[in-house]
Amino acid sequence: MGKINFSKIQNELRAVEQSSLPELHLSVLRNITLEPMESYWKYLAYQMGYKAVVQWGKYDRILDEAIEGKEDLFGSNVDCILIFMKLENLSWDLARKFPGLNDQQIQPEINRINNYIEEVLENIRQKTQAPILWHGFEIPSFPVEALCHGQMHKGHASTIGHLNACLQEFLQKASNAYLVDLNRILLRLGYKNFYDFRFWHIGQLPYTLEGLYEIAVEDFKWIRAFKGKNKKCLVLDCDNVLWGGIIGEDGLVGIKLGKTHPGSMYYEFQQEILNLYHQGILIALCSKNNEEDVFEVFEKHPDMLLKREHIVTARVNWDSKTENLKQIAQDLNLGLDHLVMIEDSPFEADLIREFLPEVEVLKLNAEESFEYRNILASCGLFETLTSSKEDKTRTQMYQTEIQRKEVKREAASLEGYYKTLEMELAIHFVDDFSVPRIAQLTQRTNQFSLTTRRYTEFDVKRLQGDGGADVLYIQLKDKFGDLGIVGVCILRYKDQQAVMDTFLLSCRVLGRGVEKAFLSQALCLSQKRGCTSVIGEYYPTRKNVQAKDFYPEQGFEMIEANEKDVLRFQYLLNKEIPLNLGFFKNIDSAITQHSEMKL
Amino acid sequence: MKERVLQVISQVMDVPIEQLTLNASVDTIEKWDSLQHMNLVLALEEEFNISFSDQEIIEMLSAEIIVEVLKGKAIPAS
Repeated sequence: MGKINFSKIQNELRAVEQSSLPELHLSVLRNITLEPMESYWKYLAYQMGYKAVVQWGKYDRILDEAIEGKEDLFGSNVDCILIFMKLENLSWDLARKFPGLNDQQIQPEINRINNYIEEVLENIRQKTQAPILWHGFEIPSFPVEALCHGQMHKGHASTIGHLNACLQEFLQKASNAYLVDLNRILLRLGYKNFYDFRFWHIGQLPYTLEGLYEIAVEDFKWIRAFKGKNKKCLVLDCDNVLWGGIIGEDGLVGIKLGKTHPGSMYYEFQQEILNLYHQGILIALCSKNNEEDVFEVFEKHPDMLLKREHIVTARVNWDSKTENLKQIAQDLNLGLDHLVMIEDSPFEADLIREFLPEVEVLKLNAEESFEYRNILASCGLFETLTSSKEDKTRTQMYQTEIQRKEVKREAASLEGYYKTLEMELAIHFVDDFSVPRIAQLTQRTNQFSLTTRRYTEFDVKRLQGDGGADVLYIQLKDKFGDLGIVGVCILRYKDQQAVMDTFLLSCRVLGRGVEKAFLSQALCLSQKRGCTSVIGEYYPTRKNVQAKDFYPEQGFEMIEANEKDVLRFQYLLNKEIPLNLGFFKNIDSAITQHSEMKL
Repeated sequence: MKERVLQVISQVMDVPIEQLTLNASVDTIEKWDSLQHMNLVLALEEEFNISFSDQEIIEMLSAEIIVEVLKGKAIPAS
C-alpha cells in the first residue's frame, strides 16, 4: 500500500498543525467523496515547507459552489482550486449505458457536459484567477463493445477521450487552468490498484489509498511549479550512480556502462539526465574521487552519454560533500533549495539531509540500479509551467558566468572589470516572442525580486493589453555571450501615479549596474506616460532580503511600512531622471527613443 | 490485537488511548462519522494488512465488532 503509512502521517500532521509554516490554501470542488486525500495533500505540502489548509466544497455541488462563490473557497488567499468531476456522477448515460444511446442522444449529452464545464469555469474566473487543477475524465478500462467499436471514432472510449479534449480547450481559455490526467495515474497503478469499488458503493469514494496518494503526488507536481519551488540543478555523484562500480578501483574498462545489462541501467539513467538538461536543468557533479579519473570516463568511455559540456560545474575532490554542495550553489548563484543531490551512499545522503536540509536528496539504492531511471523520471521536482528559448542554452550561460567570475577575481578593480565586459543593454516592451520568458522569470526569480508576483503567459499578455500597464524587459549581452532576457518590470498606472507591480532581475546579472539602469528607464517611462510619482513596493520573502534597500538607495522615500513588513516607497517625477549609464558600452532603449508617450 | 485496534481508533479519531475501551463506538466517539469511518477502515486495513468486505465495513461500528471481525479473519486475539 504505497510507501507512506496512512495513519502514521495523520499523527505526524497533528504536529504540523501547530507549526508556524506558511499556509497553502487548497479549495476542492467535487462530485465524489475524497476526504481521505486531505492527509496526503497536507503531507506533501509539509514536505514542500507549507501547512496546507483544505476547504471542501459541498458534495456534488460544483456549479452551485462556483456560482455562490463563497469567500472560503474562492477568496484572495486561495493558492489552488482542485476540481474532481467524475463522469459517473455527471452523466450516467455516457459513463455506463453507452450502448443504449443513439447518435441523437450522444451529442446533446456531450453538449450538456461541455456547457456545464464552461459555466463552472466562467463562474470561478469571475471570482478568482487562482490556478485551477481539473482532474480529467477517466477512460473506462473495460469500455462497452470494445471489440466492435474500439476502432471507431464514436466508440465509448473515444467519446470520453473527446470530452477530455474539449475540457482541455476550455481550461486553456480560462487561463492558468490545467488538466490533471487521471488516466496516466491509472496507467501507472493499474485498474485493480487504482479503484476501490467497496467504498465507491458505500460512500462514493472511487479510489484506493494508493490511488489517492498518486493523485495527490501529481497535484503537487503542479503546485510546486505554481509556487516556484521547482528545482533548478541536479547534482550527481559518480561511482555507482553514473556508472556501475568504482572508477578508481575498476578502471575505465571495468566500470559497468553500455547498451546491454548491467551497463544499460546506467546508460538509460544518463539519457534521462540528458532529457532534463535539454529542459534547461543544470547538471553538476559532486563526487569524492580523483578529478582526472572521473573526466577520463567523460572523455574516453564510448557509452558515456553525458559529456563534459553538459556539466555546468564540477566539484570532484575529497572534501566533504556538504561543503562542495554549498560551493556549487555559490558558483551558480542559486539557493541550496534549488539543488537536488543524487546519491547512492546512505552515509553521505544522511549527512546532507542532516546538515543541509534545504537540499533535496534522491537516494538511490545501488542494489536496484534498474530503478534509477524511474526514480528520476517520476520525481516531478523539476517540472515547470512554461518553457523558453533560454532553457536550451542555460548551461552555457552559467558556464560563461563562472568564467566571468574568474575574470572578475583577476581584475584589479570592479570598475575596470565592468568596462572590460563590454556590456550592451536593450530595453523593450513585451512582444509575442518574449512572453514565455517573461512569465518564466516571474515564476523562477526569487532573490532580486521586489514583489515576487508570479504570472502566467496569459497574465502577461493581458497586462500589456489592458491599456493601464506596461510590461518591460531587458536583454543583456557582453563579450562572453548573450545572456538573453534577464529582467522584467511591470508598471501599472492610475491617476497619474505609476506603481512598480513587478521589478526583478535574474540573479546572474546582479551587481553590474543593470538594476540601476533598468530602474531609470522605468522612471523615464512613467514620466513620459504623464505620471507625477512612482510607487515602489517591497514584499519580503525568505529569499529577497538583498532587494530590501534597493528603492531607498535609488532615491525613493519610504512612505509606509505595514505589520507584514511590506515597505512602500515613493519617487517624485518632478525632476530630470538620472540615466545611470553605468559601464555599459551601449544602451538601446525603446523608451528614450520617444520624447512623449501618453497612454 | 485489541490494543492495536484501540491504537488505530485513537489515532484516527484523535482520542487519547487511555479513554478507549472495547465499548468505543459511533455512539461514544463524537468524531466517528461516516467520513472518519472510511479513514478508520483504511487505517485498519493498513495496520493488519487485510481487506474487509463491503458488508463488514458497514457493520463494524464499534471497537468490539471490529475485534470480532478481525478474529474471523484469523488475526490472533493476543
